[in-house]
Amino acid sequence: MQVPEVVLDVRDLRTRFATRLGDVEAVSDVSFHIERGETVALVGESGSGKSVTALSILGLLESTGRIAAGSIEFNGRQLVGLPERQLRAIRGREIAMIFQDPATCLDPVYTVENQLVEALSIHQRISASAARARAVELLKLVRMPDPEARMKSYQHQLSGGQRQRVMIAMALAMDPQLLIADEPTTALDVTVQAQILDLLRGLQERTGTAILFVTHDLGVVAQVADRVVVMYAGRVVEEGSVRAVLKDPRNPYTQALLESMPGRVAGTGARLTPIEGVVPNLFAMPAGCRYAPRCPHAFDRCREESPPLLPVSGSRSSRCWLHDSGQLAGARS
Amino acid sequence: MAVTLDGPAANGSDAAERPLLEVRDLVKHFPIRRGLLQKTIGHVRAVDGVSFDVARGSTLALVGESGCGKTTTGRLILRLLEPTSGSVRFEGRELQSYSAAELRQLRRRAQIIFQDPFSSLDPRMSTIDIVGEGLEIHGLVDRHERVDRVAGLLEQVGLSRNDLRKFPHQFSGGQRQRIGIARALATGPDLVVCDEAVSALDVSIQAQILNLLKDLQADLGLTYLFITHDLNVVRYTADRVAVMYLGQIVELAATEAIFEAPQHPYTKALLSAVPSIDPDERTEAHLQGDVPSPARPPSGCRFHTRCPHATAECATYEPVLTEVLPGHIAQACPCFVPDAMAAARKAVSAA
Repeated sequence: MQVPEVVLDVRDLRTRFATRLGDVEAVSDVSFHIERGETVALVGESGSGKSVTALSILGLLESTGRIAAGSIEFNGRQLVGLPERQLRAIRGREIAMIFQDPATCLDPVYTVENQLVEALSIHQRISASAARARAVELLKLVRMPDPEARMKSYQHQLSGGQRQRVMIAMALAMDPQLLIADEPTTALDVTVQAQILDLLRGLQERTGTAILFVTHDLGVVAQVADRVVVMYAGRVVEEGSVRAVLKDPRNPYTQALLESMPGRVAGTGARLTPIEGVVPNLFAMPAGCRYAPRCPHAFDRCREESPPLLPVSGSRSSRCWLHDSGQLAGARS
Repeated sequence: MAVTLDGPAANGSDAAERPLLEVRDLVKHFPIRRGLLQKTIGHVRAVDGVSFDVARGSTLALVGESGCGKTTTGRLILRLLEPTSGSVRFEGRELQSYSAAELRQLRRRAQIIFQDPFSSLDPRMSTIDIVGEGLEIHGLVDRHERVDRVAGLLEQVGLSRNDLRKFPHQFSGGQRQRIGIARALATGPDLVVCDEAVSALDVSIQAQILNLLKDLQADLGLTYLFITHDLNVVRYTADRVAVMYLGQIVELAATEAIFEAPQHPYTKALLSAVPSIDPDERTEAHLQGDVPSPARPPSGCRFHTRCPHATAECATYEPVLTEVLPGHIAQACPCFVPDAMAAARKAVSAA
C-alpha cells in the first residue's frame, strides 16, 4: 500500500488583523491537512474564517492581516515566514487558485489566448506555437465550447461559466499540486455550477491534484469533497469524512447547520429549525465555546472554558464538551 | 387550447375568490441602444408573454436562472417598470387604468423586500426613519403615533424598541433583512414581492427569516410573490411554482407537483442540478452550456439549444402552454406530450 502523501499540513494557525479598535483574531488554532488526490472542503458561514484561512495559506492576506502563530507546511516546506518572492514562485507554479468572481481575476484588456499563453510561459520555457497549442488543449480540457474561437475572446465576451472555465484552465496551465478554490461556483447559475463541479471532479481524477475547496454550501461539500472541516467563528468545530460528518454530524453546530437547510423540509406546513441568534462579533468573542451562546445544549463549563477538538470515532474529531462527559447521545434529540 | 391559470382555490365564480393578482401575456422588451444617436439596434426580451394568477393569502414562487426575467416580472407587477404589452390586474383592476391617486394606493398595498440588506437600507437613516417613512408618506400616522407603530412593527419582525434609534451598520445581515421586512409591512400591504429576499443570508439565518415570513403570512393574510433562484427555498415557501426560462414560463404547478413530478425537461434539469446534501447521491450536470442571451433568444422552443431531447423541429415551432395534468401547466414538448408538435404547428398556421 502506498503511504499517503501529505501535500498541505496546517497546524495551529492563528491569523490576526489590526483594526482601529485593536487586534482581532479571525482564525484561531486551525489545523488540518490535505493528501495528494484528495479534496478537503473548508465549510462555514460568514465570519467563520474559512476564506481567511485560505488566504493565509496563499500568503495573500491584506496588509492589516498577519499570521500570528502556527505552521503551514506545503510538501514539507514551511510557508510561514517565507519571503514574498519565494511565496510568489510557489503560488505561480505549485499552488493555484480560483476565486468566486473570475471577472476580477481576468485582465479585461487581454484575450483568453494572451492570458493562457502568459500563464504557460511564466514558469516554463515554451515556444509561442507550442504555448498556443497547449492553451487550446487546456480549453478543451475544461470543456470550453468552441475553444479555438474562444481563444480570441475578451472576458466581457464570455459568460460567467465560461470565465470560470478560463480561470480553471489558467490554474491547470501550471500543473499545480494544490488547487485552492474559494467559492468558485457561488456566483454561477445552478445548472452551470453542476457542470463546473463535474469538471473539477473529473480533472482531479485525471491529475491527482489536491484541492482545498472553500464554500458555505453543504450541498457542494457533499458533491465534491472527500473530507470536510467545519469552521465556526474562527475555529474548527468538526472534522471527518464527508459521509460521516454530513450523515451523522457529532458537533451541535454542524447538526444545527444541517437542520436549518430548507431543502430538508418539504411541504408548506413544515417549519425550519434555524440557529437562533447571530455569529459572535470578532471584538466580543465568548470566553468559552464560541458557539455556546447559540447552542441549546450549552452548560456552565461551555461558557467558561473553550473545549478542545476531541477525537470521536475513528479519524473524526469535534470541538464540544459533550464528548468529554459522554453526553453526546443526548445532544441529538 | 384553453389554459387554466387559476390555482385550485380560485376556481369558484365568487368575487371574493378572485385572485389578488392576475397577470396576462406580460411583455417587457428593453431597447438595446448603441452609438452617438442612441439608435435602437435590438431588444432584450426580458419578459416575453408571461401569464399567472396568485390567489389571496398564497405564495407563488417565480424561479429560474439569471436572465429568465423573474425580477423584471416582479418590477412590472409593482409598476416600477412599464410593460411593453400585456396586463396586470390587482384585485381585478387593470394597473394601466390606475389614476395617480390609485397608484399611490397601490404603492401602499403592494410592497417589495430586496435581496441585499446592505445596499437597500439608507446608511444615514435610523431604523425609525427607514421603517416609518412609508407610514408618513401615506399619511397613516401622525408624529406621536409613529414611534409606537414602528416599535410594534420591529417587535413583529423579532427586533425590539431599543433598535429604533440605531443605524443599519449596527445590525447583522439577518437583522437588516428584518428591518427591510418591517419597512415593507409598515403600510399594511396585501401583496409582498420578495425578490431574492433570503439569498444573501447564511443558511442558519435564512431559516430564521423564512420562518418569520411564513408566520407573518399566517398572521396577516399576506400574498407573496417569491422571486428566487434557490429551489430549496422554493420548496419550503411556495404553494405554487412558476419555472421561467428566457422570459417565458415553461412550467407552472403546485409545489409538490413541480418537485415530485416535473414535466418539462428544463424543470427536470434545474431540479437535478441542485447539489444534494447526500454524498451518496451524485448530482450530475444534465445540461451543457450557459443560458443564452435574452437579447437573442433561440428560435422555436427557447430551451432547444440546451435540451437533451431536442430535434430539428424544436428550433422551428414555439411550444404551446398546455394543461398537461389537472392544474399543471407546461410548455408542451414532444418528450412528454405526444401531440405537442402538431399543436405547435397548428398554432403557427392559425396565426
